Amino acid sequence: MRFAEERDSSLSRKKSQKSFEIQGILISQGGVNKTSLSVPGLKMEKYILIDHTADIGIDVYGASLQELFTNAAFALFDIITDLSKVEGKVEYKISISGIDKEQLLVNWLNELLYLHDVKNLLFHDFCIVDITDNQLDAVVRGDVMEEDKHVIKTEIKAVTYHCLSVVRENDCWKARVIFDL
Amino acid sequence: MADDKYKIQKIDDYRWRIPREGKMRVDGIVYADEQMLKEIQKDESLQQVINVAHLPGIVRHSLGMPDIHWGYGFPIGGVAAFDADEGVVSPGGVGYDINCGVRLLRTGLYHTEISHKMESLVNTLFANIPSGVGSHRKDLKLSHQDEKNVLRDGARWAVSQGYGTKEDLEHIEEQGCIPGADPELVSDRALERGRTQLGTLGSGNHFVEVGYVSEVYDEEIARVLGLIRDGITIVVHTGSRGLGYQVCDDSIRIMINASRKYNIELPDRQLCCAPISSPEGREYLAAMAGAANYAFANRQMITHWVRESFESALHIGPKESQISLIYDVCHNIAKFEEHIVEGEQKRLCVHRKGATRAFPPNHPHTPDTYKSVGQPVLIPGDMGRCSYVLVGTEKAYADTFGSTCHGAGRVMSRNQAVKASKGRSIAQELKEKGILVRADSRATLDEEIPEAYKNVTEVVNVVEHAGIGKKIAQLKPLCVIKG
Repeated sequence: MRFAEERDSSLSRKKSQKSFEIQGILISQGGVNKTSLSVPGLKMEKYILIDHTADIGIDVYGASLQELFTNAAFALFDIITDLSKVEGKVEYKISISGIDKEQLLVNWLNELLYLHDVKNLLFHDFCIVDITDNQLDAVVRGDVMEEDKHVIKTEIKAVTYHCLSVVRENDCWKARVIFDL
Repeated sequence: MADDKYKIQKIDDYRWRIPREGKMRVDGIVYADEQMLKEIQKDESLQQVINVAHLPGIVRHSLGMPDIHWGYGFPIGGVAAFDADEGVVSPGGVGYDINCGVRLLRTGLYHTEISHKMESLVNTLFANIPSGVGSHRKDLKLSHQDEKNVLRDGARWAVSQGYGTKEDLEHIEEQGCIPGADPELVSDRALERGRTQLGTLGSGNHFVEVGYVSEVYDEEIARVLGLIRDGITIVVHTGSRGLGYQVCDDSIRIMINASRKYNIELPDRQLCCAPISSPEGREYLAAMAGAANYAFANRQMITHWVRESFESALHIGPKESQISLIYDVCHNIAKFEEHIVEGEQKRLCVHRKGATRAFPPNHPHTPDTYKSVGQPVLIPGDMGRCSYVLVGTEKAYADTFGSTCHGAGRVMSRNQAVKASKGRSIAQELKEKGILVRADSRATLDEEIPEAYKNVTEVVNVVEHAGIGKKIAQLKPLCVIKG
């Protein structure tokens, strides 16, 4: 382990400043409960937040499995940050597998969460190139987090398997996912 | 009181039985008073107590503590013990934040001495202790090997690097190191997430809180614990950060397959598990112990920065601040313990998810300093009310595998809390009550508003009346830093 010479350097200053900011400036509070998506001939919500005592859950919708997974990823980052501040400067290719659709969805979202956590990335654009019940290939775009630009509204620890479902209802795909906060 | 949905039977004023039926292997027992039980029934937590009762090898009862609320898989505030030979271990019974826990520090300072320096103290703590997503100490660089040593040695590693003293280690559950940790069983991804996050508080409900002893209920025991009326205390609440979340996620993937392999029927996929004696079970326990040790080291390092912050903000030395560790408890953990079941001593794997160990006086695992009074138990409340210090009891050891509650327990979802705090400045409201708060994001404060939680006093009173903890002192907050 190495120690730098000055112990309370840049971190101290930045954080002190931030602490005062929160008292005066209204930072976005995650007011997006419903986000609409227009599909030709069909108008449906991308996702709805569901109340869960300790954590947070989403009901996600999509006209296809591909759209369902795209919307689930959108919901994840819409909860984490203010997506209007994300431009899409970096691009990642992702390949994920799972034993079924449900596990594939959890693995997909946990993969994005892992990249967010380790590389400080915020994603806003999800292009699923190919998807089956057990496998997906995607190209995702986002930005590396900048302290002065991006806001973290909620830290999501993990995507759980609790109450997990992926079902098709009348030509529409619906999934329920609970996040651990 | 009868309830159609769950067929609840009253045992006494503070205990309720959910009788075994269908594929349940044991009864469920929930600790609550009548009013609290009504609240508890508003969410799915009782169904989760029932679900846990289905798991193979569960011993005696599936338990719910009075702070029980809806979790994922196991309820939060759930305790379940499994026979070490015939039972299972479940990563969902520990949770993603492995060894999330709290530690309580005492000081040689009094409320009146430092009240005028609180602003400087809270700013110094906020500057020195990284909180919020992505923050870390720029002066801390952990090599791959260092990190593996952290996983193996826990708080001992931190002390060997100059973070705190050997005396601290005596006052940590398991002396800050759960044996049997194998860093080689922790994935590269988990290690990668952990490397930059050691020594960070994280977000959500994690905090460092400076408070004072506002009430003493048992002078004699409080004296043994080092708690004096108006004395300044510090509570640190955090866990194993991204490393723990990744260990849990990795293990759940393995356990989903293992549950199929060992023909374990699951009422909820999140309850996936494997026999304790199976390779999958043993490997999870060794990886979990590594993550738990990381969390012990994390709290130990933050303690060191708390000490430094007090000294620099108050311009005093360690001899004046006299900050010492009272105790550190895990509240998300699975551990092997010896308990008496039907008159026989048995080795059990006790899962505590949002529950605290509460061992009685004279138990071999109760530290020498506290042998005469019982293991200290810390029950933090919300930001605006108070916290409690309890000690473990013989009754807890006999009835709940030596376990008690871990906090207040949420009553409002985070979404409801954010709605309830709309148009309000929570920081300002708390300031008016004499509590200074610094947080990395305003959203965290809104989600953590006091009314989002059960009143911790009611929770602790149930614990005391039911005999699964003895109330010693109340602490009131003065300043809090949050992620």
